[in-house]
Amino acid sequence: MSLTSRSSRIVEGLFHGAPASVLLLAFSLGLNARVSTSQVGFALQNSLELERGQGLDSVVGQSQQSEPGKSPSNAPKPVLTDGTLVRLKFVRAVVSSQVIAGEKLPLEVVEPVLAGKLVAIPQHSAEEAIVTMAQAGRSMGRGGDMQFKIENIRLADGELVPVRAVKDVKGGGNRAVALTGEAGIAAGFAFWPVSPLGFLIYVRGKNATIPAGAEFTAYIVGDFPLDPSKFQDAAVVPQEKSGPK
Amino acid sequence: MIVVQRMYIVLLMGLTVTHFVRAQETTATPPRSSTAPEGEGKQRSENETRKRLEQLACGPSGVRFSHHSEKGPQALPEQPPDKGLIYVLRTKGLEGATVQVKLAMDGKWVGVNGMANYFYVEVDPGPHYFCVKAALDKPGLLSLVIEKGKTYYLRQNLTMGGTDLDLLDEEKGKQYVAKYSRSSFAEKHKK
Repeated sequence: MSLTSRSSRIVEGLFHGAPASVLLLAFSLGLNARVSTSQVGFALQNSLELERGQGLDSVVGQSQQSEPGKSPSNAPKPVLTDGTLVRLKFVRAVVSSQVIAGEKLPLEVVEPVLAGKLVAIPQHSAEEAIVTMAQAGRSMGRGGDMQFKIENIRLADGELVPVRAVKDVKGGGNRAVALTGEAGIAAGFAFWPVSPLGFLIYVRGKNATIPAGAEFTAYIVGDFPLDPSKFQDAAVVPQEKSGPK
Repeated sequence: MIVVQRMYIVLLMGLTVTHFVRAQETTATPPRSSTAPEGEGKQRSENETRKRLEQLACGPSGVRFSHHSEKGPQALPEQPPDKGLIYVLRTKGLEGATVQVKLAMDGKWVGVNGMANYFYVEVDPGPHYFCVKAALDKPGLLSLVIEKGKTYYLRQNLTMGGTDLDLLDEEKGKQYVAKYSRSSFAEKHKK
């Protein structure tokens, strides 16, 4: 048999073997691994070569392969680190006279949170804040008050991780509008204008108000190693640009 | 004819299965997303919230207390580790010098203060609803999530415009408690 006819038989054989490689590809995609058809062929021939690779892509690749004698748990996992920022926004406007302590406020993640190249918390995922104090506008034109906190955030795999973020929003009244909170909390809340000063004995103060879309930042508390098979690669997740602040 | 009927039945069964599968797909639990449907988590109006809070916080009408201020130095309680400690105090002011100001928590009157008085209550952690009332005034309302091991200072604020309940910062609260006398009270029962 000539060399050309032998090589053409190999090509034919590859075509016949196509369903197997397609199956493997589908399996890999199902596990969120970034594998192309050419990589499949490469992986079949040189799986050990891939294992020696450096960086996160190789970490993802390792976790998908069932190399005998090497358990996936040995592979270094990407970690969501302590202090990672999570930008959140209020889905709807919140008024201190319309909420009661203990109630939950819907929040939305403004931009995805990445751990290495993995999307730990997807953009637009829903979270909740808890109202810890609510007071409507008071007598003598004194403003209302509202505090809330967010204790946990849900990762893309459904696991809850603790965060720290506490906010205190005060309504306008016969005193200057005050905005306090724990250090490190970014705030961009807009307030109703302060009531004109004067004889405000029978005038109730303004309620504390958070407009819809107001953003704040929470921080992850602690380090959390992520299982790469449960998270999507940032490269395959379309990301929208966040709007102007 | 029978063959046609059987074929028709088989076709109908096939369609039924397809519809069933489609229905399962459309009624499956949607992913956790912030795009909640209209009406979910509908916001209450200010009046509805006030009514709801009054029901949760204020005690029954007609409850009266006998009251006097304790003289001399008073020992303060230790902070219980598994509960919140709430001091309720009433500052000096021009209004209602002779009026008693009651405080209710979670639908029950728990104490009363005269001028420059305080009392305290130990509270389980979690959300609690407070109502302050003096004479015929509209009650002042406040809702608060109490954390264990923490101390809170609530001020009954009686003004010409109404009665309010303010959450004070710890420093200010401690100063008032150090200066003021503890309230001693008991519920008056109708005979």
